[in-house]
Amino acid sequence: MSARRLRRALPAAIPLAFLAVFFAYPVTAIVLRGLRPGGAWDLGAFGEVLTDPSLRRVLWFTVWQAAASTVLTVVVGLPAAYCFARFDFAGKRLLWAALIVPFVLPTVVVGAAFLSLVGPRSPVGVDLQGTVWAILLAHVFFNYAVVVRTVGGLWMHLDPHLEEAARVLGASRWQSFWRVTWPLLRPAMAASSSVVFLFSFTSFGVVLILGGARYRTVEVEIYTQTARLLNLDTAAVLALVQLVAVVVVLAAYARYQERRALSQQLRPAEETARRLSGWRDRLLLGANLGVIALLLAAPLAVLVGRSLSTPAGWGFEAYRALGSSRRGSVLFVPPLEAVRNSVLFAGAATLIAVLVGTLASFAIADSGGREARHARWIDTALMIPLGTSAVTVGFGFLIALDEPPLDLRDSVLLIPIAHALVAVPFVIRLLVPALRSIDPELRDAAAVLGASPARVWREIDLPLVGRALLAGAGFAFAVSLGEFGATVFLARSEWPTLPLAIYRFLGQPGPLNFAQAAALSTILMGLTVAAMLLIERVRVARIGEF
Amino acid sequence: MLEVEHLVVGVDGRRILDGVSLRVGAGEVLGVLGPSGSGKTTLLRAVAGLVRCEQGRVLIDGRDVTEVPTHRREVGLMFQDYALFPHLDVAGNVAFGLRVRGASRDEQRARVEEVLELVGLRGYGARAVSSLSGGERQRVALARALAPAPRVLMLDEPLGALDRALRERLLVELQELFATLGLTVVYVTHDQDEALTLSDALVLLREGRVVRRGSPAELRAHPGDVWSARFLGFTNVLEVEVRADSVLLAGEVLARTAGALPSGRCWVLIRPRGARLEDSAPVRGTVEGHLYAGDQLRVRVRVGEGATLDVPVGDDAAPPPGSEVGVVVEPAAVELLDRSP
Repeated sequence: MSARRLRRALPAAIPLAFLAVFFAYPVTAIVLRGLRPGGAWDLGAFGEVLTDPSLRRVLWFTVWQAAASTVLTVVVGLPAAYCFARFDFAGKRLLWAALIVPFVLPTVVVGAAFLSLVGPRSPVGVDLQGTVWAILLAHVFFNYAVVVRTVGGLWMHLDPHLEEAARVLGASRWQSFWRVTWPLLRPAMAASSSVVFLFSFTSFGVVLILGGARYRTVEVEIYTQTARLLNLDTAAVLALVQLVAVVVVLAAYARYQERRALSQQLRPAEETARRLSGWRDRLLLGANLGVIALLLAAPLAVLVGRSLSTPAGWGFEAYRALGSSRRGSVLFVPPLEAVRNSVLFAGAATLIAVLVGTLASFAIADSGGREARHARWIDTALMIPLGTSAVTVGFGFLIALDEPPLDLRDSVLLIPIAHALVAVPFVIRLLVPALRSIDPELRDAAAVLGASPARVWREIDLPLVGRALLAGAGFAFAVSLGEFGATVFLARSEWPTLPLAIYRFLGQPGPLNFAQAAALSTILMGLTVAAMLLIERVRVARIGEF
Repeated sequence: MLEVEHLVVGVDGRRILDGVSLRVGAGEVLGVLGPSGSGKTTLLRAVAGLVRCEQGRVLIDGRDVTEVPTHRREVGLMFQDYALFPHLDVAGNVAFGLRVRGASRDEQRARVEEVLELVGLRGYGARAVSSLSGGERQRVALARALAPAPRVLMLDEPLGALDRALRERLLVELQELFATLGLTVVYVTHDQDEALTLSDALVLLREGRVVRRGSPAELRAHPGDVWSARFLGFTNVLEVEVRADSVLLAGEVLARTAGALPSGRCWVLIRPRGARLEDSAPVRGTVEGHLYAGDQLRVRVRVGEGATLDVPVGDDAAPPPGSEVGVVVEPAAVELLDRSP
């Protein structure tokens, strides 16, 4: 192996090792647990799970609700993507930035918010708790930004002259959309709908809180089987089924991208947007702003309102109570300690995710030509933890890392590592495009001017992706703050995190418990939004993938 | 001084450079002229060490640098699209080569001012590169390449992206600059006027090989072969028949030469200034159209099936398209060409 190849292999080795130890190994443990329950291969458990009528209902529900959530999100999100791509209106930039907030909000906060708005104590008198509609609405809330920002982000860079050319050639409005714009948007559509499908497919916190006893996804079922029924073998088979499904979706998507790779001439967004003209434009924009207000803003507003409501009107009672450990409370420690724990865990997770993600991104972006295929598969491999769902990760850690050779059961590090595993794909998604967009000639120019390879990296690569790196760090921080699925397996009762504390409070009766859940949710939302604001401030203007 | 010996560069099994040798003396400007895809840019990248050579050597001031990494070669390269660093301002770009070589801040500042002055961008130091016009970018790229005082300065189509008026102005400026600084320069272009204006010596590159070399005057006087003549911008490259002292086109006598040429079919170049219309001439043709070469009006005459001849005419004496004319050529205007290599 030449020095050059070695230099290329090194950045790939560390992330792959990380993936092997903290993902492949736990997942293997799940597989073995499911397929060799007694030390010998036995597919019986598989058959039992797949023929059990109640588990089959869970599987079927998981698939159809994910499909329904995806379709619904696309239907609601596409018109908004158009508005953001083609209209100029006051506050557009701010709103575009704010859209990301629901996407990064912790699932338990979303659950709490929808419980406040359309739960038993709904201010509008609509109680959807325990119905599938609450779940679908929450999924649309969550993923709206994925569709709008991915599709809209591409759309705003499409040359309007293309559609105009089609119109001049005799195509109707609809034909020019269907025959010209739609095919060009397809890569972004495919990317965003596969993300939405995967997120809905592996939805955990939202379904756990809103689904009641009737609706459970595979993810929730794994948790129930493990934590409540202690049925580890059944849980392992379910995790395996889910893993296969996720890999199939990701592989299909990777293949699609490979076939569809289409380079097009992109225009700066400022050149493609126009002012509103006529009632059609106004109506369309008005309707979409209405959707945003009702779907995205209302639940959060009601949630904050809930945290401030006391039996005697408005006040900070729920917040004040967070500082002390109430008698009969669900936590062993004062709830405010959960805030501190979460911030510490998130800091550590961000560090790990940025380190691993940066190395992986360099490995992926560095390979061109024949290695491009290769890189796409590394890319996909590192996406798997994102799609595989946190519960599988947490469950895997639980059964694999609690005995030699790796006994980390008592290690506090387990939580940030699990969080980092979930956050790494985000760092990569932000960093790889930034690295790829660096004109290779800049590196050549620096070398000709006398910069050594290390110097080129420091003087050219790092400054040019610095902002994307910061954004990745912000994302990792937000993801870790809100992580619930893995944490619920791993957190010990003396180390609760914010989402965990919120979940515990939500499970308790009484208005004060709910108000405290709302108060903690508001704090968590504030922290997440602060991290996201930082991202938007430093965000490089470019064609984004989220 | 730069010497390149039998350079071979391949990419994916295809030879981009196929045994190129050339030599540029100290203070000399070598023009490398060739169509796109002829390997011009690759030649510069090979000299800079940005692509690996399969065979051959690169010597700078007598030292073999073939195995020296790019950043220690001390060459300057101005990229075709400039490759200015977007995260640095004008001064930051120009100072880059000094900074990575460890020059002190004072040295950097002084040198940056000096080169910016040289390229006519005094006071531009704090400007963002994104705020510059095409011509200004070109100057910044040039200043950046000049700042570390490279042993060899290489320019890749430096004027390619600019409009015509600006190009002509900058051409004169570059010429002055090269002369004042006494730089050793390799200048790559596909534009024959640029190459002929700037260079002390020229090489013609075709499909990775040098097909012709010489001074601009030599190449104008004797373009050599059919491909080179056409590429240097000569029209009236024709296949004719020679019989004793006569040059025949479409079976009729086009010119009588002073000395005897070898008989048979061959390719010649007819210099337009030696051609004229004459009613009684035996070679007959049809006027296809009018065109200007500089301020001189010419008519394009089609003779027989394949051949066209551009013939200068007075502004008020141009026969209209479609009319039949006769053409004669002075003996001195006929230049014998080799078949293309």
